[in-house]
Amino acid sequence: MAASSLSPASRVPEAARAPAGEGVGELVELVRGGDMRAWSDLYHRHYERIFKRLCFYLGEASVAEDLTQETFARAVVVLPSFDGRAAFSTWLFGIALNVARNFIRERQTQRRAERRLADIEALRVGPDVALVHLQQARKQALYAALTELSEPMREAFVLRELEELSMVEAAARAGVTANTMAVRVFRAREKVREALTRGGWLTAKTEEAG
Amino acid sequence: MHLEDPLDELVGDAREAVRAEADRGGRKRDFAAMIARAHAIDPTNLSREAVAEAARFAPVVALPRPRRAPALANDDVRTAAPATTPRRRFGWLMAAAAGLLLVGAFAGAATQARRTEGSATAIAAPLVAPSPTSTSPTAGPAPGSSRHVSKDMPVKTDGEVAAPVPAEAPAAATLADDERPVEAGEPTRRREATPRRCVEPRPTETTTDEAAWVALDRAAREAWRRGDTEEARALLSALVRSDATAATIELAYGDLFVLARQADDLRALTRLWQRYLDRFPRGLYAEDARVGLCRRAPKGEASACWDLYLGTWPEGAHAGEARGPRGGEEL
Repeated sequence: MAASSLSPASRVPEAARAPAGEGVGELVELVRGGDMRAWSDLYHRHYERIFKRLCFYLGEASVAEDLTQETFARAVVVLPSFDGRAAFSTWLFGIALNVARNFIRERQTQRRAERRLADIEALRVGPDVALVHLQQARKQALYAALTELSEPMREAFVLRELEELSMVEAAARAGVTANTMAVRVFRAREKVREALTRGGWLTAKTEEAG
Repeated sequence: MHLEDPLDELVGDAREAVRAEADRGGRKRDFAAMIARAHAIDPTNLSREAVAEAARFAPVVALPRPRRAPALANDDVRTAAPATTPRRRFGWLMAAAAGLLLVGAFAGAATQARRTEGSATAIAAPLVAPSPTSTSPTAGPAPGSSRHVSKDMPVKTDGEVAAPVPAEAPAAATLADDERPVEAGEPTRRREATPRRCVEPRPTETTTDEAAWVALDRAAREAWRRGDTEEARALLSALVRSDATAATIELAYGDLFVLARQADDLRALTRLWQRYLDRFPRGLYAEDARVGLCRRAPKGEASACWDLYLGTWPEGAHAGEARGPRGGEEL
């Protein structure tokens, strides 16, 4: 944000300011000029998509909410590096993913994941698990299992299995080929299955190849 | 037919739970707080004046977003919608196949070659990774004979209709991104927002599935080619558990036989032979599988095994051995 002091001279006159339907590219240019209202527009336009992406990545709306704020804050800081070659939303998604990855690295160690799996197992066999909570419990179990995946595999799983993007879209998001994405998804599913089986959520399946 | 993969059911529940949380509303979009945080991260890059100006923008609270479809309880899904349940577990594979096709990397040549070679070499010969430039008459599918993918096979991945996206809550200060025109370079469509198991199956699904098996088969061979036999085995095992055509599954079994043999894993090999025979009692590799079982049968069972062989292949290549001294070996 090269000129973010927002001195009156740097700001676009209200009459010339973009209406609600302003293109993202134009808003970005206004932001570069130090227009805080344009930043606000970009923020509100992209908030839900970033928030939802982080929801699926992390499985916790409250955490996703915090990290959405963090994503935009970091975007404000590094906006001068945005060269416009990618779409603004793509660039923003990249930042969100990095923020989420850092969060996971810092807070979710393997030991914690195992402990969570144990907790979830206890929840599963508890007598007071009503059916209405089953969906939530399954979500928690799944996300506990996801913590055992490497980041690329976790990302592949989230994009394909949770966000339900097509393979081509998911590959584009991850910056890999569709083939690589397909293999990652396959491996991720197998590892998730293994973790959930270990936690008692799925029954073991017969191995064909011994 | 296989039952629904329980993993998909669990993932579907998790997906719905996350969606419900995300759509719950009540979140505060606090632009001013975000700018303040940006200032804290890098005070030199964002002035105090900017923070002060941003503070004039009031936070926006999102209202709950109407759900696109009520989430069904698992039991409801299972009992109410079996007839319309798509083969959800294959969705990612379908897309995988589409992706591979888009990359232009169809490589069913070796599979086709093996398909045409017959049983004599199928078990014994290790799978050879296909060479795209091979000129061998058996290296590629005969014109018009490809059973994996036909040239007019529809690719479903991106053909699904995008779900209508409900409008952003009216309290939001600006339009949600969902409502604006899609930016150039962005993915243009999102797949069906409702759980995939509730989507009507398309008539093209069978052929698209087959393309997905090609993708899996190809991934297995690529793994094998780079020496990752464990991965190859896992992929091929998934393939034999799939709903792929019998021919594709048979070939996958053939590859698994070779992998087990290479690994000197006789127990796995024996299990594979048995499972193969259970499914394909007169299949491409059935005679060899039966002979393998008989040769490794415990002494007390070898005789009955060879009788079974002779009952099926009285003039088989191993009939002499079957009629000879009937030994066996302990595993």
